Amino acid sequence: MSVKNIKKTSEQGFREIKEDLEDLKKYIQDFTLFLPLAFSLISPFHIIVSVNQSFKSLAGYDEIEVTGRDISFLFLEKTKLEDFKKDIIKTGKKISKELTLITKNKNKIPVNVIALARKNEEGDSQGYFLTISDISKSKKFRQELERQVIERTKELQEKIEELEKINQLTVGRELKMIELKEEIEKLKEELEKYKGRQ
Amino acid sequence: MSEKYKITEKEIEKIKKIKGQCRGQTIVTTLQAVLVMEGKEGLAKIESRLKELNCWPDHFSNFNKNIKVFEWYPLWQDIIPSVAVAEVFNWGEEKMKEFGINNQKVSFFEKILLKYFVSLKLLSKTVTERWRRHYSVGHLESAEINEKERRIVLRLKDFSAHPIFCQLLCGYFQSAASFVVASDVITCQETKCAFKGDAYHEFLITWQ
Repeated sequence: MSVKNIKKTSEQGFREIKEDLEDLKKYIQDFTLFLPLAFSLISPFHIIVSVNQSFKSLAGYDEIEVTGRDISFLFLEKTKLEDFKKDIIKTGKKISKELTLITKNKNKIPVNVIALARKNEEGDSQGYFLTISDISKSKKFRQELERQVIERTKELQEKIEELEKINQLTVGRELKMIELKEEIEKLKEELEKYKGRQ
Repeated sequence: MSEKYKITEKEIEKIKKIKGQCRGQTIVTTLQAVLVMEGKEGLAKIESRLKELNCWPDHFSNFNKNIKVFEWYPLWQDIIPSVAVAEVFNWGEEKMKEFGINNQKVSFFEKILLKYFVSLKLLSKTVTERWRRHYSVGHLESAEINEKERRIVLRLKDFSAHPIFCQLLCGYFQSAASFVVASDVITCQETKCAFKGDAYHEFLITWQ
């Protein structure tokens, strides 16, 4: 192969790689844009590197406002978050925790946070992916369900108590009837004795 | 940078003559940062000014689609829009720094270069490589990393685009450092400048 041909082949190779990279970039951007889940890329120092559209919708922050900031300002429970941060780096696995998200408008939303650690071939931490899902509806539903269970249990308890009272009353009446029957029997016997004497 | 700053044709010619290329990503981040800071209206002003200067190539329109981030483009296509931004919006040093910070924040390259954000030492060791991924000319190196004294010194050699561009770079480096430094107060200043008679540009990054 001539020098000219080698040059031509490598130029073509570079062009193809560049095209592939452009396609890959577009794929990543389209995918993160489509993703209905709030997603962000975090550095090993817990600094926000990027966020997607769903994150902006949920938290109310533009990407430029959060990029370069520590994730701590986003959540209410600081101590719980610090433990979470340590766990991500230490375990290097997927972990989740329920936290409270503070939106730009200062609204507090209960969320489920899932972090997946990223490592390079040498095993060094390369930060992590973080997803945040709004669990306010499911939490409300769960709380409502729990409230209903407590209410029903209370109602049931009251019914049981009522039944027990009725039961006690019924049993009492029956016992009284037996007692009365016995008394009648005794009186009958006494009457028979009295008749015999006459 | 004075308030009366205006780009001259001579400057345009000079910048266009600078040898070297930039990645499409650098142009995209410049235009993207204008959008972030000044909105569509602001970008339209830049387009209008660059058209007057005959510096608005067709691919600048709908840049997110038309500019290939991994492709190489003439260096002036990154420098002239940045200089035009300072002129059109009458931005001083601090605002140009902020522009540089936003350039770094919106960069797709910076997101995929996350592997360098592992530690300050690694970040400093790889600045040369990172620079080369953005520009075909110039040599960026870290002259000093002192975690104890909380300072990094970066030197940029063989790259003299325009004094306004130095402030943009200042903001860019400051923002890049914020990913590996556990501090909310990070500053960067240019302590040596090739436009002020120094042999190279020098940037001092400090944090509290």
